[in-house]
Amino acid sequence: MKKLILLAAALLAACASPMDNTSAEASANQSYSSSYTLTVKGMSCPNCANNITHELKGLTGVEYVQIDMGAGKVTVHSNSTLPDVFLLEESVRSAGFTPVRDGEK
Amino acid sequence: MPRLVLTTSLLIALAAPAASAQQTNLTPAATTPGDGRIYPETQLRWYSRDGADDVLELNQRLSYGFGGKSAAFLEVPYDFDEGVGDARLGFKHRFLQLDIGSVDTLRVAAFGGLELPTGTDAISTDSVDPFLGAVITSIRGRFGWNAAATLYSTGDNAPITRGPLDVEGELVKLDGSVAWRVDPVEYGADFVAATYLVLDTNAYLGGSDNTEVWMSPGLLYEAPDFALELSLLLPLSQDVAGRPERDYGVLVGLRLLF
Repeated sequence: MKKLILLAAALLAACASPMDNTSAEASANQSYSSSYTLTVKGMSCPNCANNITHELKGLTGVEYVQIDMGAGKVTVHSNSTLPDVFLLEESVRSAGFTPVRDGEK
Repeated sequence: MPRLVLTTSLLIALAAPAASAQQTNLTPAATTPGDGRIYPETQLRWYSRDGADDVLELNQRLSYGFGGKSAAFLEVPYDFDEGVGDARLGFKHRFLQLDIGSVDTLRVAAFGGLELPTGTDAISTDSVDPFLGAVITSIRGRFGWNAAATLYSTGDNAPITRGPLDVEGELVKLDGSVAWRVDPVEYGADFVAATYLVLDTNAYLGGSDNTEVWMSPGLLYEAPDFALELSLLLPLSQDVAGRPERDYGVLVGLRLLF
């Protein structure tokens, strides 16, 4: 039981620790030659956003992915040529979420 | 009283689809890892028992995502006194997904598989046993709900051991849960972790002598690539024969996303 309590305390301590966003901030502050923003629905949790980031970063040309979960916006950045929008949308679907074109509900 | 508790649990499970959740600590969700992603989950559960030794269990689950809608999973339980239990090999497919807002979603998935006789003699059913279930997950703003029903079938040679899933015959498990995101109140442009208060209700309905209902309040902390779980396991009703009742328990868990 003592071990369990210690483990629980360690988990709670980890919960209280702020996340390290240093690398993300560094990437966000860089300037990129091309960007494209997708509207995505159903991003309800941090794991969800991680899935989308992982899928999009697997595409050639995508160097940084910025996600605004509240607004439902996913922006991909690149210093080379960005992939076709259909490929970007397919990656979002593969992550388990729904991309929406302007004008669609 | 047990009937009232069971009815209440059933009503919670049935009401859940009308509302909207993350995968809580003790209830399945209609979510799957992204295509090609691996999602290991580890849960350590400690139970205090009435007139018997405490129980310490470790449950390992590994999920692998296919195409954004499906996942295969392998679940291996371990009892620190008895050894490895029967592993479950299964498949989950999400056949309905209505993403209705930036955060809001309604998802329905079916799952099923086989329990394999990998366990030690004391805690194995010694047979290949099927299970089949369905789960609804709904998230609306800061609130989420999950509801699941699973049918387990166990062979005739099952020993009466520590848990309700090991007793011979058929058993229906009903799970209902609610999650409330306490932080952040609103998601912003920053990529943040989220903390939830969760409440799981789990009913094991295996007829007389094998019925248990549990209610488990807890915490869930979810970062982009891992999640931490903590729950207090409280029995609301236990009608069990051949094994000691459990007084209460504690769960700590860790999920990783690769």
